[in-house]
Amino acid sequence: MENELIAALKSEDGEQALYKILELFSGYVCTVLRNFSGGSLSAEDTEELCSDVFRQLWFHRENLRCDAGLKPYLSVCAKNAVKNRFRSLNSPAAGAESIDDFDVLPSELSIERAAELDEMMTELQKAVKTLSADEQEIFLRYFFYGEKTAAIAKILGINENTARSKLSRARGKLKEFLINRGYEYV
Amino acid sequence: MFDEFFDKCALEDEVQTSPEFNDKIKEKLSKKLHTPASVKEDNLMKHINIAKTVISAAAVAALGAVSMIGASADNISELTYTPADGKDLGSVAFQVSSEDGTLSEVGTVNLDDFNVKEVDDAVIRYVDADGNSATKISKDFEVNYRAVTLTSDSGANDILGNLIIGDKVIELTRDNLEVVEEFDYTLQDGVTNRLALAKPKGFDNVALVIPADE
Repeated sequence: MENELIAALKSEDGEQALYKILELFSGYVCTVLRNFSGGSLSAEDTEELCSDVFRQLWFHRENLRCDAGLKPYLSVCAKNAVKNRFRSLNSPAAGAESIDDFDVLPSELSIERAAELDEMMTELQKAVKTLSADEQEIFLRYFFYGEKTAAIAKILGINENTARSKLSRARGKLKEFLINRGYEYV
Repeated sequence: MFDEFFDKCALEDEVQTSPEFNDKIKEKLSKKLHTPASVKEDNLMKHINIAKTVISAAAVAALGAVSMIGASADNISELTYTPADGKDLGSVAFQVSSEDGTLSEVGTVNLDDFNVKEVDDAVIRYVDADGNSATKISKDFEVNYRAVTLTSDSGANDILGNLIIGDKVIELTRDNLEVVEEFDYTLQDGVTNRLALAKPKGFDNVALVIPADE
């Protein structure tokens, strides 16, 4: 369904598709905003950032791949919206973990590497697939959903320290995988 | 991108949004899509002390033409410039809009004066309601500025903004920006700002105005 919505977003009736997407995914976006902000956004900020995320989706609709799904894109946009909001306030995220801890995506890359981003993301996907099922879920929940390790541990029914060590191990594996393919991991 | 995961793993404690909430977001979104950035509903004035630095930076290129329309930094909410011809790098028209959304062309500048090449379909806009600015250059590039960090003097490596290509975000710092030209601009109140036209290394068709490195 997401892929059909992306196609509709690019069509003449794209704006209607955008509002449909908003109805379907506003809860998702608000959840990611809440998670990455540590629940510290005001209601007004949440509304503003939520609308910004969908605005971002609209203005970049032509670049969306129909087979990539909406959630990953919305998740990254929401995360960046929170990061920008906190930086504009010159304030760290209110959660126990710094918002900068979540950096693993393109914002970490040097500007000269921008042209390689798509390839890098493809490699990252491959890298994630080399992780165990648990590690994959922990990594993606942490970096895309903004869920804290305690919450992830609860979902998976494991100890929080185990979740943390699996996350750390997953990051190490990804780092090695990417470095072996010539990527810098800043 | 990781779509299988997103299909498989539900968010924990997903927020349930109400139809009223969605309507409110739709309304905000619709305004953002259909209203020129200059007519943002939120009050920009609280950010004007920060914003006018950058606005005036662009205005300097308009050769002081701001005074031609009786505008001052305090009633400018956005300044845009677009090339008169997407293929022509020469003449760029600057427009200043007041908060009522009125657009006025205030002057032109020759981009070649700044050695900026390959500008195509350039549209540079500045300021959003949160005091962030958006500089948009061509369909493929968008640069978001955060005015607060723009005016920060806390260090040489302050993050000045994000270069957004599709869904990829690249932080811009002074280290990855190449200053093309520094210049002074004096506001009508007599305050002079030292500013710089800069371009991100590796992106010849993106030009930005930033506070000069003191």
